[in-house]
Amino acid sequence: MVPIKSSQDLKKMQEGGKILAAVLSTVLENIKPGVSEKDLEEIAVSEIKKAGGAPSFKMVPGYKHALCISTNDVIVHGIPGNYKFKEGDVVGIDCGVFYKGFHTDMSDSIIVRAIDVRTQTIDFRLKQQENDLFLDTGIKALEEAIKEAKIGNRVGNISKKIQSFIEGAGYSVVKVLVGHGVGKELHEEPEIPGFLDKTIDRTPVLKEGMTIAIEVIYNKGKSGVEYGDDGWTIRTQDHQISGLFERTVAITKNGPLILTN
Amino acid sequence: MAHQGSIEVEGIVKESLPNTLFRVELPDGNLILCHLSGKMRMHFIKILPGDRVRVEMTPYDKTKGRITFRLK
Repeated sequence: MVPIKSSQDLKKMQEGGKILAAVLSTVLENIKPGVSEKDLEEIAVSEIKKAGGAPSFKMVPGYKHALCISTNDVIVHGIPGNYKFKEGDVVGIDCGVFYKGFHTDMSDSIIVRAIDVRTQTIDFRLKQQENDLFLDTGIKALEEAIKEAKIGNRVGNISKKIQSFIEGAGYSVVKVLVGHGVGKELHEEPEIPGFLDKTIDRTPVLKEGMTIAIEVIYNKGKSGVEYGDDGWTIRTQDHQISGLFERTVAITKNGPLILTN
Repeated sequence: MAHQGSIEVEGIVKESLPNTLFRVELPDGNLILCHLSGKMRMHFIKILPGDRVRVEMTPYDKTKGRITFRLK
């Protein structure tokens, strides 16, 4: 059963989403060469606390951090460690905030920019352009997928949009990870895969009051994944880079409403 | 945080337990505890030991599943 949120619930989630968006943008601003993953984790924890929320991921059994930091070939669930970012790293940050009884979930990926561009080689700049295109495709796929999140459509419409954008550009969708409903629990029904695994009319229908976290999780190379020894980290099998974008969206009479704004 | 999607597997029903629970053997040899999906209950579809069934499982608990289809 997909939980439906009332308009008061949606207001609370909107406030929580605003906090999350602010925290995530602060974390992203602080990603520079030489900064370590643990630094970002500390920034996130203190910003969330200042705003009056709680880190959602710390409420997941077995996970003890507020952020998932997924660098380069790590797809999702990277545990913040002592790694220091280098110029050109493709970093995905996933964060969740629990505020007034509701969770919101959001992710973004960026490339670590150099402080001094004169030190870059031409090969490096060409590679950067490839990766910029890779990430921009993901952002566009998410934007278009969010437009499909309206009353009367089905989860399959969202999945089809994501799949056509990502595979159309020559990248591959990660099949073992899915978007999800979000609300009183961090992961609720329905599951929202980034690809169509059954016909659209056999997927759940979207109703007013549903809140979903639409996730675009995709790889530059093939879609194969491998699981890390720490029980959380998921990497690409061919060790090519991976992108991650996610927004929490509410289905309303006036169309999709991005709560994490 | 990304959620791992559910997987569909096929198995053979080994024994039937009370309350429409069944022990199903998967192709890799594991025995899991499955319940009958609501849709199958609604349409009074009977499952007996020896039937081949399609089972939906979550990667978060590999000992349980939901029977969603009876194959001929």
